[in-house]
Amino acid sequence: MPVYAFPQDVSRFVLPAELGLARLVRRGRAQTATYFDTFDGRLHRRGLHLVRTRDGLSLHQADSGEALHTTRPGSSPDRKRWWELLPGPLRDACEPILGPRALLRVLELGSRLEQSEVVDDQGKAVVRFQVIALEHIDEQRPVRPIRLLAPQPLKGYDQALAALIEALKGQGFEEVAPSPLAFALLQTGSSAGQYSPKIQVQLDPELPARVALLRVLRRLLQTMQQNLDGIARDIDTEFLHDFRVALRRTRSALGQMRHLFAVSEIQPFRDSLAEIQRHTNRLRDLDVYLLERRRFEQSLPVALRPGLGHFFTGMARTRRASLIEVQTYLESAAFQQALQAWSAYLDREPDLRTPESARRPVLSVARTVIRRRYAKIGRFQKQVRTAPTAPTLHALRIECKKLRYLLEIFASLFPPEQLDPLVKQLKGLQDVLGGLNDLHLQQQELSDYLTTCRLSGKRALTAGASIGGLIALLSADQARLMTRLEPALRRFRGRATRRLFEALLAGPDARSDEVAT
Amino acid sequence: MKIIGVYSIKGGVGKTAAAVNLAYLAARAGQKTLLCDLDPQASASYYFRVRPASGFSVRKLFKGVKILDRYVRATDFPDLDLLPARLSHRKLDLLLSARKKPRRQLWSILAGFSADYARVFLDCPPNISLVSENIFYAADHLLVPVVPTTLSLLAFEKLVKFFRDRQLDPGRLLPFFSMVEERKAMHRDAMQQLRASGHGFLRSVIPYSAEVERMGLHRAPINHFRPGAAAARACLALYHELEARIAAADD
Repeated sequence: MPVYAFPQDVSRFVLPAELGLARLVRRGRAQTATYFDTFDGRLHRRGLHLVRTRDGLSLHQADSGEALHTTRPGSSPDRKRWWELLPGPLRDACEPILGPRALLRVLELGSRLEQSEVVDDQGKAVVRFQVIALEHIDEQRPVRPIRLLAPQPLKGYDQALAALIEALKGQGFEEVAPSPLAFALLQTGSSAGQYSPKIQVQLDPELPARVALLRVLRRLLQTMQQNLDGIARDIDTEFLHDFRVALRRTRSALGQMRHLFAVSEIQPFRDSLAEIQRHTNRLRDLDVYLLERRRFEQSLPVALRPGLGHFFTGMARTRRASLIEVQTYLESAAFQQALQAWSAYLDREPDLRTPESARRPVLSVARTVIRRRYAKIGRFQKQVRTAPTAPTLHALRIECKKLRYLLEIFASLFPPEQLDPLVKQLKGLQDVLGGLNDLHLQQQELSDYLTTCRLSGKRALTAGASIGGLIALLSADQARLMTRLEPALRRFRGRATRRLFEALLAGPDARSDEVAT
Repeated sequence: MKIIGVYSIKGGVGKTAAAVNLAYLAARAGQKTLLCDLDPQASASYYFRVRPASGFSVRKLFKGVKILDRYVRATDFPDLDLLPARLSHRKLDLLLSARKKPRRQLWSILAGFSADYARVFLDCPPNISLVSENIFYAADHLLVPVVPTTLSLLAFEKLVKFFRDRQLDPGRLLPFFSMVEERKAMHRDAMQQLRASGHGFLRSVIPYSAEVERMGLHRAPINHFRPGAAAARACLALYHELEARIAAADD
């Protein structure tokens, strides 16, 4: 619900008589409201607020203020994932929105609320409004309370709302923010919920290629840095995930466009970035397993579910150890220095004298590298049609990833209506390849567990039955997914898609002679 | 979304009072609730102080849920909205009979609200018309208030027969005793006789009460302005019994 600020030296709002009768429903009630959202503002982006007051935890529409679901206040949802909330409709509504992300405290608002309503000649409320005296925002206290007025529409009474707003404006009230939370965020200058792992760098097509690439790389470094604190505090698994995606995009960009740099200049960074990636591989793998736990269990018949307990307990233990290793590594001088050196390099004025390609317009370079990568994927068609081996699938998956990164890095150079259908198709192909890879690794991990686990007697039998059952299911999934691979690849390399790529990459300045693969 | 009709062939049996209080109780339990006032007397709208929506006409009913939604009014109670239909039933019957599948029209209209409401209560007109038949088709459960007299039994059996003739499931009928005066031997006897008839009368009994009549003065549900009254407690029991039936029907 939008909020209006009281004009200077005005202490009350006077309702014009023709609008009806204003009735005070509740006088000055002190309330502390704590707002929660994920690090990447998932609730905010859907126009939702999650607020905890002494009355309860409620999920409501930011614009109308309408409460969608409310539960008991319970313990603070700070750092909780959806499955750690109280079961009920609020949790159910949060599940698809929050995914694996944890809630974080955004802000605390202390206010005194006065509730009024306007009633018509039948004594029926037609619009309500709240006078909010803001007493503190987190620890900050204004000299005297900031007074706001928030109209609260009632369904079916649009005219009454419009008349109220008209009257407010007539008395010098000004709309200052779309919600009390938004107003408070403006006051504190906070950027909560603004984080996005997307690249979002607008490139000028004529920019020298290296200059353009450095901009993207700076943005990727920023994303990595934004996630470090969340990894260190182990808030949720997505901090590490986003960190690693930014890192992989960086490494892929450097690899695919190394011809824009002098080799000796960037090789040390490529090595040190690869080293960072290696240190975080195991933790991410474990995160993925543990996130899949619920799905794994649900795919098994009820009788076989307990047998997975030992497997996942062991995995959780390994994860704790692995987390400590990663945290220690992130604090180490080696890591800090590597990141600092990379940051310093990106901030340096680029020397564009050599190689020559560094000065080529970025659009031209983008077209060349994308065309090359797309063509390369085509070479896998024959192998996929016959009998693809695990290494083939692995190589194809990597090629697709490389192409995907290129399309993301250079997205701003192409019209979205041309680019988006291609990205969507590529994503479909990648989902199949990624799924096959996960299923392959999971079966391997489960089989390894069977040979190494130190259970005995009946517990070993139950665990064996469950793990065996799971392997059988995963293997069936794999076979099913495999049948989708060839059609997906055929479509992606088919005439229709090739035309789309040609249209996307058409330009007078395509040169493929000097491009590294 | 569950659609619950409150229906009686006879008027003056506490039908609107039941619809108003049950809708209020459902909303108070946290369910998004819509009460559709389909009775031409528009008493339910009166109880909630909602004036009939200007510009509403029977034709609007068929313009789809988006148009219809414009006429929905928030009541003074959280999670409870009201559709003040003020229908001309003569016109509506004519319009319905001109359409394909004239008995399923209401159901297809209300289905459009399924994302917005968990419970829809219909305060039905007291007659058997094409509108009523639409209600029979649309409602997941049909609450039937019955004043315990011999004549009521005849009226209720007529309804059951109508259901059977139209191949509607009489299991959706949920009769309950309304406006009961325990001190009257005739009421006690009739209740005994009706319970023995095997029509599955609900256990909850709504007593005759002057408080219910005062709803017209307070213009609010009795469960709001006098929750301790015997009739209010009976409504609450009826609400719980209804929810139990809904849950059982879902299993």
